[in-house]
Amino acid sequence: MPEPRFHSLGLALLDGGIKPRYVRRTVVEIGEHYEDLRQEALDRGLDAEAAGAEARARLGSNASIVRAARERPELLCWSHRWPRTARWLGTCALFVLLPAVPVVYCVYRGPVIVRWGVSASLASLLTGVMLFLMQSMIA
Amino acid sequence: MAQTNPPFMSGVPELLVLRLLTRREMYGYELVKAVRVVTSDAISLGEGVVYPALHALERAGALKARRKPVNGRMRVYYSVTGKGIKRLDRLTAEWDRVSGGVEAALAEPKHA
Repeated sequence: MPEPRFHSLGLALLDGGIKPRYVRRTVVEIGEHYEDLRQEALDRGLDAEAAGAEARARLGSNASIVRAARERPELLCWSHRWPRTARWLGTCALFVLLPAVPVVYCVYRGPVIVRWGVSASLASLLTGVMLFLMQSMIA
Repeated sequence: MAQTNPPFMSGVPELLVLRLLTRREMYGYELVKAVRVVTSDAISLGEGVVYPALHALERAGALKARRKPVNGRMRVYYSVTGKGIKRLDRLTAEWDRVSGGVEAALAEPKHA
């Protein structure tokens, strides 16, 4: 079974912009590879701790694996493969979304807004009528 | 065991991977070991970094992968596709051209 430390490899690969499906596969396959290397070392007579350490060393550091994966553009998420386009699209999406949010909110909350609006209008009308009648009585 | 391969070896691991996988399907650990055996330890693939290379070749359509349970463990076996064979032919021709050139240069008598 993969050691918990391969979880950190997965996070490093994700952080490096590798597509999640390749991250999952790399972690699983490297975990299996680690087990084979560990078994090979155990068969040579090493104790469990030394076998584990040797297996981990032969696999290489997380940084070297991330570097190797990043050298393959086809394994990168599109936002890491074309960062300029991603930034440009993100900005455009923000410009569209910002004004759209209150409109969408009002459309979805339409009945509530109408109810509140009608209530507030009726209350204002009633207050206005009362003030007008009182003013008329004083005059 | 050679720890690192010199820069002029760029492309050779891919050539060896494709060549070995034309013989039979293999999983990562098997493949790394096979490269070491057939090259008499002259070329060693980074054990962890072989997977990005395999995934990239698969993404390019040169390899195909299949999961196979073996003794309670899930192995991912790789095999070469038709596209991979064409890529191997191209890389082999390129290698022959480069190695032929280097051999010819080395065969030249040394000048003082």
